[in-house]
Amino acid sequence: MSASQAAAETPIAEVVRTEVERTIQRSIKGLEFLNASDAPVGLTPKDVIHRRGTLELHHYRPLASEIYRVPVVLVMSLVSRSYIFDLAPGQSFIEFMLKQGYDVYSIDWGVPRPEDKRLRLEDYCLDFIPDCVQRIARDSGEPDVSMIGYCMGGMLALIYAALHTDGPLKNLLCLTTPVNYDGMGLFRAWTDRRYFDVDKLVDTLGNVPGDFIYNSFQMLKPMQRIAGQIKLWDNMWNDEYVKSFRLLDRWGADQIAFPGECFRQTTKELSWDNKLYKNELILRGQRIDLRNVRVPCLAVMAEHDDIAPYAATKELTKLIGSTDKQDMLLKGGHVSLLAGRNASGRLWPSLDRWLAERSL
Amino acid sequence: MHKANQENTTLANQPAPASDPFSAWREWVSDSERQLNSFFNKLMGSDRYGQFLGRMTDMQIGMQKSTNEALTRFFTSLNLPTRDDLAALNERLGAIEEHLQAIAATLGTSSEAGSDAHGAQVATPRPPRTKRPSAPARGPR
Repeated sequence: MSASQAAAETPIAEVVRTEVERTIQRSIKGLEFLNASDAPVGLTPKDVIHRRGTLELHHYRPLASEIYRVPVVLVMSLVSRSYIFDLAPGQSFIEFMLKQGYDVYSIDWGVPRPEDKRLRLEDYCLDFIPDCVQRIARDSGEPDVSMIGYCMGGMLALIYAALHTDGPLKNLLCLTTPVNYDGMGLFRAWTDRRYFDVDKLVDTLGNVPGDFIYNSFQMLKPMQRIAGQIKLWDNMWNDEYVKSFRLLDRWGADQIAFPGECFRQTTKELSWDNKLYKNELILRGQRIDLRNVRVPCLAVMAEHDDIAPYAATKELTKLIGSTDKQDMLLKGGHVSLLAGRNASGRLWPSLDRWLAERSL
Repeated sequence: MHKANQENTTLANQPAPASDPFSAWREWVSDSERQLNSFFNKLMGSDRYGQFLGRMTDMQIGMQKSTNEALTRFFTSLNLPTRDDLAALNERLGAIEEHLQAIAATLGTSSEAGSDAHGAQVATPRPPRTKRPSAPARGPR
């Protein structure tokens, strides 16, 4: 008898009994939930090997008895906290990678200070990332490095790869990385150049506040917050669900400011003029031609991504010059792809399989 | 983002009996969420909404600008540093810090050899870089 047949034949009395039990559990655990403090995040042991302003370069302590030759560096988006890579033991991408035998570094941009409003894409792709890569080479003693960029971090990594064609990048993995801003859906509509005065916003506020970014994300699915609370209550008896909810909810609300000039540049040059996609973006006099990216590349996209929609991410591998390149479309959304409960069974092992043989 | 929570787990994790009213309610919640999101997305994707949002943002920024200017005048009249003054000071301190780090690195006394989150010096043991894929890779190549 299949599970569904068995379930279909469950008497209604059994269903009601289960619901009554769960309702009692919900009441007890609901009180615990309200009184509980935030669970700690980013617990995987690490060392800070470099600090520069708000930037921190972390090296995670290996968890395997032998490691792959090529170290891996994670590049985070500018508007989100990097602990999405390392939520909690058992729900941590970094922990998984360490256990698989990778030597893992991560670039944490930190929270921009008011004076960071002047930072532009040039600073990240031509200064901070190359500097970190050099330090990783010194620290690890290896000449090359693999880079994993998430969301806008993937875009920074991609631009870095296009500008540093002579190495030391060995592999590039872009997770939910938008390249075609014509496919950015609602974000594109909301920043329409006819109505959205980005100059006034940046000139007045400096850095774009985190709650501005947070509200924009919330507006993509306006009913989600209410439905989320209902679903949380419904699953309150389920400790695993509640734990995952709390971690991701905390991360989602922990949005950080977007450096002002970078926001202006992203809006005008990427969103309005789609220059990255057209190979017309120029940083410090250098044109970003994505065809110059020739390292092995894996582009991972989420089927139900509403932040970096499939339409915006799907053409990455078509635009680059690599011969060893692959697209991977996985079930899930922008965040659940990387850190949801299913990530450990879908994305993480797939990345490991792709990267392992290229890390020798 | 909150969306992650909902993507993460569906309400009904197990197959439910056909006559289960709770399951029907759960499905109704999920369907309603989807339909309402889709309805609002259509609404918010329109040109008119873009125009409305632009005006609202403009208005908010205008208010913020007026408040900033008034506060700056107020602090200046009290001979107190403004936010911009503090930011400038912080920037200069940051520059000094960077220079010190560069000097320390040149002298070979840099703490960047490895310090934990609390700044304590650590010597991280490094396993040999001899790892090879354990089995023939399956799946994506």
